Amino acid sequence: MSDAAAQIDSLNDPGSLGARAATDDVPVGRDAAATRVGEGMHFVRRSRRVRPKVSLILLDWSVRESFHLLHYLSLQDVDRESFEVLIVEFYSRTASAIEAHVDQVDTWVLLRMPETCYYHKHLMYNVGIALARGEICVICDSDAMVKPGFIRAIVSRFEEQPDMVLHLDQFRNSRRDLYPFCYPEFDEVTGRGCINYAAGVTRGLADDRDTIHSRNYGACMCARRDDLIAIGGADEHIDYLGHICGPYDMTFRLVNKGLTEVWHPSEFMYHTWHPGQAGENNYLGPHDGRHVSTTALDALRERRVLPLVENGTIRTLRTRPSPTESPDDVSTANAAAWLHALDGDDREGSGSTSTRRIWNGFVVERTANAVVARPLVSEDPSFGADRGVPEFRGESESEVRDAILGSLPWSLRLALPVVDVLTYVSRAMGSCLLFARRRVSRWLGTGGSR
Amino acid sequence: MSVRSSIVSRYRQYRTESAMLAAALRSLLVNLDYIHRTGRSATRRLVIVDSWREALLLRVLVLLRIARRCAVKVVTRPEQLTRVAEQSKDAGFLVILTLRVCSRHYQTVAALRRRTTILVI
Repeated sequence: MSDAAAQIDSLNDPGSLGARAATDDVPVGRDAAATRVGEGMHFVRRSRRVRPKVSLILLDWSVRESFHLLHYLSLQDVDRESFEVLIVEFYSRTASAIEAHVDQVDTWVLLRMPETCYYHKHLMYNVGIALARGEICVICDSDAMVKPGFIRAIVSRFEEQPDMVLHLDQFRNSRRDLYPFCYPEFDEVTGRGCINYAAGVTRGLADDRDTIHSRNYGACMCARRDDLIAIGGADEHIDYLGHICGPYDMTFRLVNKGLTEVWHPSEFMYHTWHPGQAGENNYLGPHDGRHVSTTALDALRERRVLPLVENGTIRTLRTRPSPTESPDDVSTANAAAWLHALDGDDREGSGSTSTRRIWNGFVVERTANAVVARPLVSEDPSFGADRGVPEFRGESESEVRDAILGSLPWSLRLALPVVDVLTYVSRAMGSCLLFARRRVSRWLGTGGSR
Repeated sequence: MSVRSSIVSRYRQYRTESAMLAAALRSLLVNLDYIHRTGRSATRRLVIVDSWREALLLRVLVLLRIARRCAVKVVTRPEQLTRVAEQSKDAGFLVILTLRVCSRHYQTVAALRRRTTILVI
């Protein structure tokens, strides 16, 4: 038996720290049953670090094949006491890929959610944030490479500017020969096969026109734990179920709160190709066509700071006088909303299980006994609620839709389908032109990957 | 990724993005009408979009008196947005952004919204 495997066995032993933590589970809420879906959290391992500066939160939902970030964390040029590593597993698997680097893991928690429950990354973020003991929480890819100055770069940026949310972009390489992960050199990842290298930085970092799509918001996001708790943590709304989600939900709300978003100009992560990296065959919640959640985009429009659905434990931490302590258990009660949401459903393709949708410029909301619609602009705080907001109420959505259409001038009503057709046609022409331009630039050797 | 799945994924992207854009334009037209009808008919409005195609369509609709009267400007960079928004504010315009402009330049928009009234539709 390897040292790592022996260490795991000792952790699973009833007398070990991990098992003790599991039996000592104390929910933060009133009642354990009320705060849980599934069997409840189990600590395979629990951090003993007293006051780390940084807490790295890594996620898994029984899918990850490699956790090689842990190898690169063992090579960091800072004191190991200055950071802790938390792994949050959505189901019950103790991944063998983690066992290989278990000496680098401080907290390893299994949420033990039922197999029928689809994964929700935001719940895992909240568990990580709640359990973190560090001042700065870092949510990042667990299958990426980082240079030895990674942790130092994060800490020094926060010392320079505490009121910010920091992101690190990622170089991505599409070479199949680097899979399974074979510990390539950093230059290899940024060299042949790199799809986003642009003169020493990522292409996204060099772009200021459409950062939301050109930069990788999920690669690495760092924020002060107190700030994350102050905005209510990650949003556990059902729209974020599955692949369409990410820490950018929190970034947007942190920016709404007044923090500055900063992208590190010289520190990056390095990612090599692996199967299923683009979320193929995963359930997709509502998104903008390029896998950015429209629910998160709505938070920008509404200038919303708090989440639509807040985690109970995060709420308790937020409303307590001293929100720094980490609890022993984290609520998974919100999972009841999506526990059977995808039963027998086609898990691929865009959809929405939400009760709220935007139709013809009106927000249409399904409540317990009615459907209510009001104009989108009335939700803008600067528009003013004193303007006599018209509300359409009805028993069904079609009834409300008819009422909305009836309130519009006839010329506008007639023009709306024409606008739709023109949009589709003009976009198709634009896409064809873009495709042709890319082909030509590839032939001329002025574009494409390295 | 096979050629077939690549085509399927591109088609899905086109379909979803186009649907989003069409819905955004519908929203804009309906809400411009709503703003006009709720006491801001005298206010001069400036709609900021990020594509020439969208701007052209909007201008045609205004000319045909289908959309409520408004000025239309195209911005593609954050510094342009700051300049246009501040100039328009000084000129007494009510500045309206599409959600796509807001999401592309959300940091600039967040900073601007702390200083001035900007509606996002």
